[in-house]
Amino acid sequence: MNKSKAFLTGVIFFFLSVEIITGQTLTLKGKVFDSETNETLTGVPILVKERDAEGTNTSVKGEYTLHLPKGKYTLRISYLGYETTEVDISLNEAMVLDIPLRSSSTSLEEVVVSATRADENVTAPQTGMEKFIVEEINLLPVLLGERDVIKIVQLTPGVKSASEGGSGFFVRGGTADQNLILLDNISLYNASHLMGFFSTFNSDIVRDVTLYKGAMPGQYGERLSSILDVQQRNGDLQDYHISGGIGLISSKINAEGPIQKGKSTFILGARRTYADAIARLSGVEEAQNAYLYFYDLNAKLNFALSEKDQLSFSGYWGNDKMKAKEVASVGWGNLVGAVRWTRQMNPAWTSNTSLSFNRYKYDFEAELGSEIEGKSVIKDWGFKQDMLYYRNENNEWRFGLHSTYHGIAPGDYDFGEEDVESRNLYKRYSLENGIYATNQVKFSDRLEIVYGLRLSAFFALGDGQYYEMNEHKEITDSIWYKSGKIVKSYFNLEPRISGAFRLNDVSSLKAAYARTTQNMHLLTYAAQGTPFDRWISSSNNIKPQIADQVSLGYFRNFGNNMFEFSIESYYKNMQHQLDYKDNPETMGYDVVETELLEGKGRAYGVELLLKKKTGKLTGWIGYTLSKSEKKIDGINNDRWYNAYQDRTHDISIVGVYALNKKWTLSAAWVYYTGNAITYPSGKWQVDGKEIVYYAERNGYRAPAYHRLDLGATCLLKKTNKYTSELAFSLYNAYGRENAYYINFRTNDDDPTKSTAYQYSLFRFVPSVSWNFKF
Amino acid sequence: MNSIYKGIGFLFVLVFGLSACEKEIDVKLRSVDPILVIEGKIREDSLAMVRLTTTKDFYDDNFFPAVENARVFISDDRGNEETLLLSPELGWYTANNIKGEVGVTYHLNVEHEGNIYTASTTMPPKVTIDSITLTKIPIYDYPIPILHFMDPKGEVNQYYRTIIYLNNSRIKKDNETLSTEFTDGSHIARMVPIFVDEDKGETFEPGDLITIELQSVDKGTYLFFKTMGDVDDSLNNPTSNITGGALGYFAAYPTDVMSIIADW
Repeated sequence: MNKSKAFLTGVIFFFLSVEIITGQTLTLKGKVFDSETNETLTGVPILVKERDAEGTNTSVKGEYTLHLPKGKYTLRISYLGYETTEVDISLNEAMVLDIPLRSSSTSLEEVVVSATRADENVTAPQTGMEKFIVEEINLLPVLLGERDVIKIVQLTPGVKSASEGGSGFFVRGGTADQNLILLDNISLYNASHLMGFFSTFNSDIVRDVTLYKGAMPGQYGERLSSILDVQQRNGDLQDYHISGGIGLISSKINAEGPIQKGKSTFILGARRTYADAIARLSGVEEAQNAYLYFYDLNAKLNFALSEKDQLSFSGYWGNDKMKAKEVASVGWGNLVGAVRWTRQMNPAWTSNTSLSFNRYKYDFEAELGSEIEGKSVIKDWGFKQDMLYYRNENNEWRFGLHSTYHGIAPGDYDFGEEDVESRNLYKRYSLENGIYATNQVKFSDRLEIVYGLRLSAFFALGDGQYYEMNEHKEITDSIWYKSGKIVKSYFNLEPRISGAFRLNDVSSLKAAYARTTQNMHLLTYAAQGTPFDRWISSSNNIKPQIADQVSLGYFRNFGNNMFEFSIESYYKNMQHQLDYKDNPETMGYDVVETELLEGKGRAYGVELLLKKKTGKLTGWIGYTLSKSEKKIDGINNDRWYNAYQDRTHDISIVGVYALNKKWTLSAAWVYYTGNAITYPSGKWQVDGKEIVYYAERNGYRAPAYHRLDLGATCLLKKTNKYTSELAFSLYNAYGRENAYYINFRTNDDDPTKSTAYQYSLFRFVPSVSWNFKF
Repeated sequence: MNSIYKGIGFLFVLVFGLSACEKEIDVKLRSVDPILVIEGKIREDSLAMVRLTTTKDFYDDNFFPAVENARVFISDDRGNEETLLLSPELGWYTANNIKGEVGVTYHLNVEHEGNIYTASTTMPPKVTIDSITLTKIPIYDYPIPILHFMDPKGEVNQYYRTIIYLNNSRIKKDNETLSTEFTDGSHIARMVPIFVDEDKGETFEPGDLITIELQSVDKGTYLFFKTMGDVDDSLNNPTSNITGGALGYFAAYPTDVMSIIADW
């Protein structure tokens, strides 16, 4: 045909097809609202089960519109904080359907900054942020049957897990202690159990988890690299529930319900591992005197004191124990508690006041011929006052003051049995404060910014003995400061800004800059870190760590928010980074500052993420290309060297597939370049033994790590009253021998040569657990 | 610390019955120019001896021949001095006159290929062993020897090395050092375990001869051996008490030896 005819045909076809669609489709519209408050809900995703690719989200006014051909459909509405609702309809003519949603756990929390919009990937002005809801977490396979919030976080780009099975993590090239882990706004010093193989978060009690990868709004601070904000959920206001799970290695049980129907609730959770008890009972000889377990308890109480006032108590108590009977034992644990009062002063102003207590300790006992006992304790008392001013839907302010009084007792040791000799390291007290103001402004449909300023004011206090050193790190003087006297103060301004510029409906550019400071430092001796590492606070000899991070990214959604894509690059500059000098005195040393060196660090990289959020198959692919380096005078001949956490490539592929009503399958594959590591450059012989010789710090690469985990969940029974499921998982499904650590030594069989040995930990670890809910 | 991780990993494997394994792997390593290694020993009532070798590449064999073209010179604060001569059969430079004596300070001077290396050490007083006992702990099949001795009060005797022999054959261990900095003047009971590798055919039976040697060493020597035992964890070279860039140590020490017949 000639050109004009083709064009005309095309136009006719177009109109015909449009006609076909509109002629045969019917309009289904309505509102989605909260069944109790009758408030309309924004950004609620509505999925039409029979039509995978279709779906929509409610508008700011809570309204939705769908165009569907005549027929029967099931609408599925799944929204944070509410029970997932399914509505069966017969669409024979244009229909208006208003859908009420019931709170799954009526959120008595303070006003959330922005409701979770389906297009948040593109619109949210705060970049470098990832949010996870517990439903996502519970579908993924995990190690030893435990569903772990932190393991999921480690699967996002920019976040690397510290070691096999461990729950320490590195964010954008930072170290593991540069992450602030908050449980209901109280920080946890050690968020892991049993050297990191389990985390301290009971996923049945967790509501949601938000990770800020360095670019964080003004209300957060105290750590350089990230904030992991874990919020516990509240108990059901109306009904009582008991839920739990029984597994091969551990079990848990939770209870929740109203204290006073409609006004106050409680939720409690408890977990314990018992594999060691089983090993002892099984009669395995070597296990008879080995004890290895943890237990923890979570509690949250909520009271609606009046229409405007809410009071809540959050508590967590966890303990780990590793013991070889009559030889040695070590233990560590967190005890945290907070009380929080939220007052809705008027429609615009909300006030949050909280008091918290945080105690972290570890202790050990050993019989090495003579007895030795020791412990180390950190106690924090905290106060927070936050104000939220909701000026209008485009403008919101937050102000506040956070204050924490730290008390560190680094070591109290007792030696001997009858003539007990004690050694007590000097305690360190300090007051850490942050005052901030943040404003989130939507200038237009295209531009939204969140900016703010945080002032961190840190005071190192008496009572305690403080030391002065010269440039050679020799002690020149020591001064005793009385209780409450200021030894040294540090003030730092931390500007923060992050913004999203919408290019069009489905894509945006985001950029951010943030300065963060850190005054509590964890000194790790071996690169991996242990729960016995020492925390110290800034002092006259130790300056606060400072980081400046800039990031720029492009964000795009596809398929009506079914797919989220982002590519973000960052550059981070760090000052006053600490490291131990070569061969330091670590144990039982008062003036540990003489063993430390200070320098700088830099990290940069690119993160790519593609996520599929709706449909039978959901999941994501993440890839990070990055570098992290340090330069500390006195280490590696004063040259830049790769930080331990430097890993060039990091890939995570995660998928969850809802096979049918009963079965859900999941898989997670991770791959990462090995850590920068110190290998020998030679060997020598002394006292009849061969010893390795080191010439460069972190000059080599550990072997690459990769692993596939598979999981399947089978819903056994689901009624209104009772749900039960079986969860299967297989960790390291193809049994890769990943290097846990590498050792260089004289060959075990042939003493005339030297060999490298690799020790790997987990291969093919299956687990089964049965979970129930009443 | 690597040894802690190793211990944890082992406990996990034990308790959770998980599979873990160790295997030989191939790792490409770079080389460095050889560095001089100096081992200087002056035992009480023995002639001073010094061994000189160099570092080798990691995959080279484990034969470390003596460095021959060096000048080894020792002097003490009593006015004695001597140039040590290499004894080819022993592989050590030995003195003919200078012997170890408590309280004497010795100086070492080594010249090799234009470089000079020096060290000083003072011999602490001798400390005698009171007794050796055996104790049994639940998780280990074999009894563990315990060394008992009294640490004299005062700074002069703070550091020790404990060497253990089974049937006159040395049991090599990483952790042989002991510091009484915090237990000064007390009765010390120190476990000196014997690890038996049955896979290699090693045995430990009632009737075996257990010999323990207690050396009193100065701080520099103690630091060297302690950091040498930590090398796997610290990933650093040991702190040497020799200046000039050589690896190794220079030690003067008295020893006390005691033996018992193992009986359980």
